[in-house]
Amino acid sequence: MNRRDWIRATAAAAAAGFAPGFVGCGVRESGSGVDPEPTVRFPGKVEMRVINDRPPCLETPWRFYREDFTPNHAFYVRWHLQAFPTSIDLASWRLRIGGNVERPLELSIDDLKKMDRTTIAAVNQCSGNSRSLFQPRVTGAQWRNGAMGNAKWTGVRLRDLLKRAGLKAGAVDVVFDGLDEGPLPGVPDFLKSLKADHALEAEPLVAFEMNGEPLPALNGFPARLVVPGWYATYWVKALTKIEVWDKSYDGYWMAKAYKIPANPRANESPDRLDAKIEPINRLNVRSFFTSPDRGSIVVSGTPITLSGIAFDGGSGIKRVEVSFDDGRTWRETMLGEDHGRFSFRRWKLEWTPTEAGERKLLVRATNRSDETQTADPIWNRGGFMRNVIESLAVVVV
Amino acid sequence: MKERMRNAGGFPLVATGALGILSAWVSYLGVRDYWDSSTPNVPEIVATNVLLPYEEVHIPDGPNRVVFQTSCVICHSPRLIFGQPTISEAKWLEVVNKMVATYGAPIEPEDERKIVAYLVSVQADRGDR
Repeated sequence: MNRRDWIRATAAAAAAGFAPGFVGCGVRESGSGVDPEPTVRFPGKVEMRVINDRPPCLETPWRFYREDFTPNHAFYVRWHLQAFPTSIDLASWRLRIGGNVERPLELSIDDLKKMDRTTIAAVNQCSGNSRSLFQPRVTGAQWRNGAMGNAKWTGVRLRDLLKRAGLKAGAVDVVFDGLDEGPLPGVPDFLKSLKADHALEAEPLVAFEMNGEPLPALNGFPARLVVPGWYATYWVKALTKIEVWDKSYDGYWMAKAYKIPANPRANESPDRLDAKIEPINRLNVRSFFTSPDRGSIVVSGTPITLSGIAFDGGSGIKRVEVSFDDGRTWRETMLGEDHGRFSFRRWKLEWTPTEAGERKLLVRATNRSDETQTADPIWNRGGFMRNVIESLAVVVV
Repeated sequence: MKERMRNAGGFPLVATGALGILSAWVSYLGVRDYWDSSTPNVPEIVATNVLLPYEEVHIPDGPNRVVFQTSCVICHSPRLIFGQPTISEAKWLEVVNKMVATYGAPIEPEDERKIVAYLVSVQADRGDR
């Protein structure tokens, strides 16, 4: 370390004392006026931010996004109904496939495991991920950005199951039911549906493994639907029934909940809600910084590696760019290993900061269909599909 | 003579070799599951039974606190409610109405107004967020 380095390091240490005030995310101690965030350790999970405890809704701590695959013990959790399954015995668990089919099936986990299996890397993101960042605010689970995760899902193709049961002519919708139930008879059971054409595509799976392990109880043990490229609301957990309908399914969770304005950005005005709405469907393009941490102190003249993740609804990420001048110019980053078009895609960029002071960096991704992110956030009544250009504040010393 | 000696020595050698290969194969049968799997062999999970942690959520004092407690907490944790952003009285009424009309919460219309009063009061105490 020469004298110059020593001065820089000392300056960095001094600046660190001021940094929390600048980034607004300082240490929250008692008496500071802001209570510490509620975090709890649930079975099989690390300590996670609790959005709700009955039923559990838990947010993934940000550091886990530095890995391409989100570990099962840190994967976010979102249940809708209070009576969610905490005890399942595989000796009696069955997956029933019925409705408009030739041969109704009742399959055990062993029956499923005997069928051809496939593995796919796919992002599972809650429709309402980042809802707490909407302005004006929207009621609902107040997620920050941690209601998403990427995993390798292993299971049986949904279409293989449907073919085994034999779809009768005129199939319109395929309806999925998990073991979770409402706490009162009046609470609509959580059922979701896919169009029959979609259910017969190659991607949707009935998965029994996540990152090479059985699904955690809180993430849908013993089997869940995996709908690559689509929001997690369709990925029914603790799946127990698949029913083929010869007409449109119109249950509450499809007809009333999880609806978005039917325009390309799912955008509407709080003062004039769109009359035309549709069920939420494919993920839009997003990208994030995962390193360095927000508010980090970086030293002028010393190169550092910026990195993060990007993903979309299945076109695949074509390009990720970072701006150092509030979006006037953009520098293309290096993309990491390609785990498939539904996965997180790592990006990295070497950066040598020069001017001392507060710096705001921006990141935006573009997919292979040339869909990208914009600086103006969308708004909609459900607080769904936020995908604004994200920023990272650092202090250069 | 020379030939006989060679045969006599050859047979045990072949037999020992064959026996060696046979025993290697037999022992492979025993360990092949471990040998062939690249991942460590873990016992298969046949059931799950999780005990959820219980974290008491503080329900602040306020008008009609008991009505709130007996009506709203049957179906979900109060944590979800106290985590909501600051919203208007009209919006709270809309939320409580939805609990009754959509989710079938057994709440009398008169209690709906009491619950809204409690929510607005608790929200005012904690300030905007």
